[in-house]
Amino acid sequence: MNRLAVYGAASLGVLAAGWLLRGLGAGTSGEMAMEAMVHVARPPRIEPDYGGTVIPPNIAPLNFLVEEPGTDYRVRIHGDAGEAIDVASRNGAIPIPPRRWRQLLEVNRGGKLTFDVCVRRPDGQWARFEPLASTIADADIDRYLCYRLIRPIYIVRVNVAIYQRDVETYEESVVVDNQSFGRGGGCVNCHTFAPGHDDQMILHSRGSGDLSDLNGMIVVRQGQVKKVDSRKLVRSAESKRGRVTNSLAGYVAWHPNGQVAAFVAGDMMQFFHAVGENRDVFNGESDLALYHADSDTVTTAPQISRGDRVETFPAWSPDGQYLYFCSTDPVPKDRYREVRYDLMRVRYDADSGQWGEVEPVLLAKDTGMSVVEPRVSPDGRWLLFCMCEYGEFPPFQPSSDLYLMDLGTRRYTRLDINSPRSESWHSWSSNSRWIVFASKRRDGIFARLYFSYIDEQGRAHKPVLLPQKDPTFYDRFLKTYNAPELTPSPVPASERAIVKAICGPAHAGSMNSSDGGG
Amino acid sequence: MMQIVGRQWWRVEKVATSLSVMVGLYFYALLRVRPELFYQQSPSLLRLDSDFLVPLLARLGGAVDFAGALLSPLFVVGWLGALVITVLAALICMATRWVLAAMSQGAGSVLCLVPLLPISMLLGQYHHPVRICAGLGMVLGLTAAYACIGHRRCAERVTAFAILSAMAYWAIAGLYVVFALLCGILEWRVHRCRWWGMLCALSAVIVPLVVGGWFFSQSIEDAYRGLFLPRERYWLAAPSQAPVSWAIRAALLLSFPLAALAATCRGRPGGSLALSLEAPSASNSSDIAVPAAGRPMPDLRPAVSLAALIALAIAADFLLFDVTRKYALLVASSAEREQWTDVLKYARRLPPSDAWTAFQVNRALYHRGELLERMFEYPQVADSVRTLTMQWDSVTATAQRAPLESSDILFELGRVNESQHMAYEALEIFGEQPRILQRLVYLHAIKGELDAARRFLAVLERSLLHRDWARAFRRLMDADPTLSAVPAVATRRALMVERDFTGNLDTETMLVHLLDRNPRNAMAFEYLMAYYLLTRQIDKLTANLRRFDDFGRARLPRHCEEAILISWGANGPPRMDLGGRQVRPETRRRADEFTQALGRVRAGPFEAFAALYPEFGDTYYFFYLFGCSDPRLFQARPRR
Repeated sequence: MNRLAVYGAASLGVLAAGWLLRGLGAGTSGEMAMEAMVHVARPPRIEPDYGGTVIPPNIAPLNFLVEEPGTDYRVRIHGDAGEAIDVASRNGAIPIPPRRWRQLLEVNRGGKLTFDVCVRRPDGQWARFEPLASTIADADIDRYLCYRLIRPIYIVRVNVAIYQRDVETYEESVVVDNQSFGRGGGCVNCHTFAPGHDDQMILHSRGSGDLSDLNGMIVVRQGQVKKVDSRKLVRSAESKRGRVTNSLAGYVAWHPNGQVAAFVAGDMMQFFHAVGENRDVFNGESDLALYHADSDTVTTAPQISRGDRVETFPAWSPDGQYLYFCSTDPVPKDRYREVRYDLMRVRYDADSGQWGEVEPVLLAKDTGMSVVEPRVSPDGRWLLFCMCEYGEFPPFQPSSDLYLMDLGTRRYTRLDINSPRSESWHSWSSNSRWIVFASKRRDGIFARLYFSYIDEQGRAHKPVLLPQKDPTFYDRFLKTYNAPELTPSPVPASERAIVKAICGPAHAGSMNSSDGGG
Repeated sequence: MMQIVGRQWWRVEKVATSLSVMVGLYFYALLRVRPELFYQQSPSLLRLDSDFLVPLLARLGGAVDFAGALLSPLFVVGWLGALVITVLAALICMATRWVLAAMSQGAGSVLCLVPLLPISMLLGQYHHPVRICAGLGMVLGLTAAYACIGHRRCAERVTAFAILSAMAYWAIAGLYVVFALLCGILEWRVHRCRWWGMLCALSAVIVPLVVGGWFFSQSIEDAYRGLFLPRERYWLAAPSQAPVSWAIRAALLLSFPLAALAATCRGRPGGSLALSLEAPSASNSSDIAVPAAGRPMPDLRPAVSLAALIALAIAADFLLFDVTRKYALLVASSAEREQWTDVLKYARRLPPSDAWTAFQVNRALYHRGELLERMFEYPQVADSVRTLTMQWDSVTATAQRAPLESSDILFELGRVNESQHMAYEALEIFGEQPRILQRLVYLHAIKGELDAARRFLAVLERSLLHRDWARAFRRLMDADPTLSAVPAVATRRALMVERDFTGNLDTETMLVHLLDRNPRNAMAFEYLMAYYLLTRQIDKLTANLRRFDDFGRARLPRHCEEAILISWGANGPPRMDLGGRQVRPETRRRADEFTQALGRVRAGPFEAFAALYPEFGDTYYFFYLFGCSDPRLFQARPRR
């Protein structure tokens, strides 16, 4: 019996050692008879398709899957300088060692990156494909990416969470998760960062019925996290206009001075179609207002809260002198297909709190489409926005595409990076060289995040899918990404502090404070 | 010699007893409880890939979640589920025996079987057994590991407890409380270290609060996850008698500390509880089996204890077994397998007040071609439209209360977008369940959204139980992107509406739109007629009789004939186009009999109901008059 056990253990040991050695062999480049290789006059199919992209020099390794039939895969990644990276694989998944990847990208910044792919076919013959080439940009992308991950939500919200991803690694951390409320629901959304003020952000929490006490705007500022109810912070009579005292805040944009945030107080409703894309959104009435963080007050003005217009999507110019926003004439809900937003802007003097006249930037009557989600580049040169067939919610509009306007000339172009499916939720990197956007191009249901390099001429280059350690991750990931925001620094509050603020009472504000810049 | 033989015989007897109890539990689970009903409650994917399993292990209570993820899908096969239950229960009994042995320097054969009683009661409450049993197995294993340390120095015991506590809380989360209490009892009663025992017991409160609540930022509920009744989102998975389930769960969890206390009382004055239930331990069995006189005496105490345990189990089953939940699950399971005869059979065992049961009955009747022939044989209530399509007044209410059922019926009717809506609601509420993913595959395939369908197939392909189906579907999709050879796709595509609608979609509008799209949509038509019957809109029903021509039906269904006769009675002579069809003589005869019987009744509505129900309770005349086809529902109405 004992002898049997010894023989058994020895056999297992030999097998394990053989397997280990085989694995080790697979992990090195090994020897391939180059002269015996068949040359395939096309690049290999890889997933995600990183060929021809411009990649950030500080991006995490772009692991990929070679989608060519074979039993062995060898990939050499190299640039003009630095040590090439060789990766071998038996299943086509190419895991790139992070440290060597970083080194390679760093020494080839601004240069080319080439992927040589060889595949041993099922008949034993090695095949060498045309190399795949990418360009390494010379400008970094902001290191942190904040986004919301949800299932394709219709009505019920069981799990809604905002995450932060370090794009230089694969590390993802929770900013806030509604499961932490311990209330079986609730929603978190509209996370917004203040450019140049790393210690500031705003997000919103929502709840209905028993969870309505979760409602509020969560303001992170100067090391403090508090929940405010924008409806109750309107002090002056002239600011008690439209929806401002009735509707919860959403779609926030921090003024560059970090003291004021513009937001939407709106009456948005979701409705459903019997044919085609199920979901749609209708905004019956909404107005813009300002939250003054120093005084905890809310103000508005006739220019941004007209009774005969529906205003939404505020975005500040980086100098803080203009508030860009979208507006349209109100129509009854059954005429939702006629809703087309114009892009407008209004001058604002942050010191005096004075508003100028509203001026059109791009009118729907000229484009024939609805102009939404404007975002000005941090250098003030470009304005990135969506245009879609109608309405104000591009994620549900397959027709939604990204457009870029040169603010100097007011000329705009449809970016080449668009797909036949929805593109939306875009944001700029702080150096104005990168954008991130959500696209449903892979399947029409689940939005994924893509980075695209914007060069000096305003050309957007082939986008890079947010990399994951497992290259097949997106194939089976049944959540959708939305509202990606790039920031150079991490979220300035812990999940615990945010959850505590959300679950606590709304901050009442200072009753003695002034109008806060009126 | 006799002592040795006696001891060996006693051991054989003990093993045989334990085995027979386990075999009994196996057959109780297999035949009485039916483990596949647990799968019906929470169907899950059997995934073994690291990106599914590793995140489970990374969270508090991860080991229990891991065990649940691996074992729960096995319940899809009844005998396998029963085996899982039996093995887990056996492991708990064995671990209990080890722990009690450590507590009392010996072990009892019956006391360690005591946990089987609350476990069987939990099964009878349709409380999924895997997680709690796996968790308790881990609790007892870790406690046994701590007990193995024995009477070492205090510092070593403290270190061991700290290490095991960390492991335990990570592995079992809230069930750590049981571990801490058992360790406390061990220290207090066995090692006679009262202060350390107290601290161990206190850690039951402190560790979850500090580690879970403070360090991992969990809510109190999550910090003690596993200790309390889990919050189930699917109503069939939630206990129908929550207080009873709570009590049983508490009894199960408390049974271990109590058994430990009892075990430590062995041989001590007043330690009668242990002695009353205990068999003799290995060390002293010979003393009991062979008394001073030297004549072997049969010790009946284990047998009596075992008999008492079995009697208690039978009584508990008789008193507490949740028959209603069992038959509801059987109805749901049969409906999912399209075994419509079984749906009708099991539904008869359920109380009539439930709209869900009536919904499943109506669905089964339709699929058997009997909806308009026999629907009033079953409990129906006037204007209770929900029993047809499970639609509440608002889409929000429907999404919250019955997304799965709503998606099912909408899919069958051909309301593809609405079914998709509800399937996504179900995905959000119940997670990645195979039936939801399969439904979404079909829905996206019907809409020609093959990339989206592939996304769900990719998940199903990772499940050992569903990969064959997913791969076969993918092959079909690759071969023919239109999937015209797949009946579920081709038939629904022919039914789905093509004209958009964004208004309030009530049941009638929904069905009419379906018939506008495809007048041969038999289900939409029969449901529309059933809707008019339920809402007693006979004028609308008769106005739609011409639609029977679209289905080539030579005769009218019985309930339609009955409605026609009511209409004739109310509106005078017939001027109605029945498309050459006649109301059958027997229907007329019963109408006459009903009228005569009604004329003979000289009492109030309740008495009239009681008098007419036995003979006419299955007719539309009766329903039309009383607005109800079941005496229990009618009795429950407020009397005026």
